[in-house]
Amino acid sequence: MNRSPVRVLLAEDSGLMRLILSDILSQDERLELIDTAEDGKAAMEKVRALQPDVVLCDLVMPKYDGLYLVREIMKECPRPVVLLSSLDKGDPLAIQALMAGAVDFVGKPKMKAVSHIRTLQSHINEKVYQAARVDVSKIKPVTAGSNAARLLSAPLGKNYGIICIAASTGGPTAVESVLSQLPDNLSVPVVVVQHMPAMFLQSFKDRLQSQFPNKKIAIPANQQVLEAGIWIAPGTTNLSMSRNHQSGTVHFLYSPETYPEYNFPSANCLFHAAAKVFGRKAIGIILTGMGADGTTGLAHIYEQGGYTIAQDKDSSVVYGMPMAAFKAGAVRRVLPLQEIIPHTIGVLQNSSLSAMSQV
Amino acid sequence: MNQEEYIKLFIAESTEMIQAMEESLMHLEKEPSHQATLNELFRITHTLKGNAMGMGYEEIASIAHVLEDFFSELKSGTPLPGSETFELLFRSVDTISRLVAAIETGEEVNYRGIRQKLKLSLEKARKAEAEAPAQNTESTTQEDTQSPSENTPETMPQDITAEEEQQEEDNTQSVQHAISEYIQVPTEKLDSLLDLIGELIIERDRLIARHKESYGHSYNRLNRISSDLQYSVMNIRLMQVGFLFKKFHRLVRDTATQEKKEVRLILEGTDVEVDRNILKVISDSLVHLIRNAIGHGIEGPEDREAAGKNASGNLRLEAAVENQGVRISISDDGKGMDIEKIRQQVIARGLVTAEMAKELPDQQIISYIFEPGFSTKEAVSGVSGRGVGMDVVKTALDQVGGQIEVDTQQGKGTTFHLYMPASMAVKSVMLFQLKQQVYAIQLAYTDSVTSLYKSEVMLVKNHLAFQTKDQVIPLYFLSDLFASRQTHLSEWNSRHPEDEFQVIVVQIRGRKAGLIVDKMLQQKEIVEKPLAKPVDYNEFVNGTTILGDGNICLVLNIPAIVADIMKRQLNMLHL
Repeated sequence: MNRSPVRVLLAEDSGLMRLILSDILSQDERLELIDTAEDGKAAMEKVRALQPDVVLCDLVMPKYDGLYLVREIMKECPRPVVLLSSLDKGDPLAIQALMAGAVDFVGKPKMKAVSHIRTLQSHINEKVYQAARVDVSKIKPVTAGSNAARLLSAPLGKNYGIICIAASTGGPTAVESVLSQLPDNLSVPVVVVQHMPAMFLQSFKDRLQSQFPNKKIAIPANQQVLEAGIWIAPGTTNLSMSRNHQSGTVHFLYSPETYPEYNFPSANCLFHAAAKVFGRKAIGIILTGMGADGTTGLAHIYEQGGYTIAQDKDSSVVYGMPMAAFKAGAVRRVLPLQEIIPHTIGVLQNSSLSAMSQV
Repeated sequence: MNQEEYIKLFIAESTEMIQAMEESLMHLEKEPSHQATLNELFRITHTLKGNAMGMGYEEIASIAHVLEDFFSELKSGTPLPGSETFELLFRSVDTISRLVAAIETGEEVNYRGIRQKLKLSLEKARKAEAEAPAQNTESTTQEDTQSPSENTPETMPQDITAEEEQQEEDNTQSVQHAISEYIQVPTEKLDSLLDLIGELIIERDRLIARHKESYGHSYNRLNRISSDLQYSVMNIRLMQVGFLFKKFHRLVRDTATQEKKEVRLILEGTDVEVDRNILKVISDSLVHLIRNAIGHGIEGPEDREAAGKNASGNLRLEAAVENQGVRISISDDGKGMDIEKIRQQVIARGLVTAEMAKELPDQQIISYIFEPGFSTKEAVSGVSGRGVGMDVVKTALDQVGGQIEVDTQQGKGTTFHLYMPASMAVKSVMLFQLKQQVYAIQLAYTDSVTSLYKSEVMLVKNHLAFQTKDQVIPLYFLSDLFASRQTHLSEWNSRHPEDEFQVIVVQIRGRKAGLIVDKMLQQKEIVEKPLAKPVDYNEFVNGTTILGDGNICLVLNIPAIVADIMKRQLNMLHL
């Protein structure tokens, strides 16, 4: 365990925040703050000169902001960038920066008048430390050309009624990449759980909608009827489903139930609901992410005879959630990111293919 | 991590940001849709909000947050809702400025009114924008209405209450433009300045001690300048006692009326200056002594006339500079204390035995009125009154390193003399050595320093004492006191009759004790620091100071040590 400390560069325009964060980082001997910068441009110069392991960066800075910094870093010398954010709608740049390749985000230190900043240190430090272990070469910022509209050429079978996708760290780009491959006229609803604060998910949805104007993308309301389209689970609640047995329609349900792995939105909550409501007609997909959310839910789908896919190690920015699901024996197919949707479409179109894989 | 450093930095940065906001707002007023200015305002309010949250200043964060939303909205093209908005924005910045200032002054600032107005104005702007013909909001409108964030709208700002409105107006009026010739400074600032100087002096002494041989004289200037600096700062903290004394006119009048007595207050030496903190600590004691003097000392008009005195009593409050310190005396020309009654109560409470009480001089008997729970009302005057003990006064004086003496003459009156240092920061001490360690005793508690031959010391019932011309003073090996043990007679016996003992005679409230130490060193002015945790439990040690040679010196808590000695004497008597 005698690794040399993670070398961190901090870009933050407020001297106060620089001091507070320096103090927080210095509490963790696994981390070494090598320098600080006051704006994106100065930070970029220091990135070139010092080659930090991780860049911790504020988004809103004068002249050259955090988004500029993330784009420059990903273009020139990719390395993990953790965004500092106030985690509210005041940070519209956050989602753009995540899409541009930042691996993670962390709330700025906050203190109640009486409490001590020390209490937050572990949270921020842990994210920075974890970020250092992310292989950024796997982050593929989605470019405008990659989402050429496609339509299904062959009709779909009736074997599957829902596709559920879960992602965490490294997810925004992976999710966008996956969705870009979906046919515009897909009749099976797709529900996405991306671990993110509520305000970010709103921006995430807006961003996806503007990327894919021909797809219907929405955050479902409570009790809203599940129909074709792409649904992004809100960050204010966990998302479940239920079927009305008289009409046969399926409704979204906001569920206050919490899960040990992650909450609001929980992948397990969605997967369990899909397994319950759709049984063998559910498809569950686990993409890149830290932790183990989704494993029990995916296993449930698997047990019900549904189809389960996990992103492979080589293409995962963080091979955490897919690995947990794989090790639990909940995964039917392990695939590189780019092959997940083509394979899924194949499964949808050809029931015999899926039957074959079950053998 | 240094909280204070954070606060300083927060205030400094906020002040800069406030100024930048004002400049940008003025610019925006001329060019309401100037994008760069809006970006700048958004960025500043965003950063200010983040910093305020980081520090836990939620009031500042909450206003900055609304402002941030406001500029975010304007940035995205929403037009300003009317020119009166600028007035509102400027006043919001004023409020933030006052909130930032209030971090240090602790002043209360009403901010809710302005924040509500701002929210309303923002809401109005959003609505106006939403109702305007849609241009860039075509396809997503339907879904937006379904999104959860829209289902749970932020609590809409309701009407501003009249009270909030009023508070807001009050704030506006209190903005001052005149600049005074005087600066009001929170005493904490002076305290920290004094602390710094204390450290400077320690460092200076260390330097001089280290290089004394080689270039002692070249430090003369440094010496003088730092001393001047020290005294200048101490001087700033001085307050004329008159400020406090003058408040007592009212107290005397009210108390006298209540007790149906006639009392004239005479003030003397009102221009004597004392450290403000010391004055603050002892002011309650003065109030207590004044009430006592009127309640128990000064007689009613008839009694006075019967005793051949003027019907109206005199209460004299006097301050004077004495022995590098200050003496404040409170004298009344009342009936004085009944020492015999005090003596009886001392015996009744088992503080000393009857035989011993008879032996004790009056002065020492009187000193028992400062024991906790010793009620002065019966013993001193028999007049019922407030039952607050004099121990409050004793505690206050111990706290500032002061002393109290009582001078009473039956039928003629009582005087309390309070002796205190003029400044708390620097203490005059006597340094001495015991088992290789240097200790200090405040000069205020040292009666005398002497050296005794073994033959001059008496051994009575295993206890040591020595005789001065008018009294017998108990003698202790200080190391025995530290070790909480009886006098180590083996040590005593092992000494040669010609051996000399170094003795510091300490005294507090008329009680004296001799402490045997190894070696006297010198008198010195020191800057005392409180004991740091976890070693702050030792009641015999009051604080520490760092000597010129870099060694730590413990400053002894003489009141606690003498109290311990008194306890030992009592135990001895009870054996």
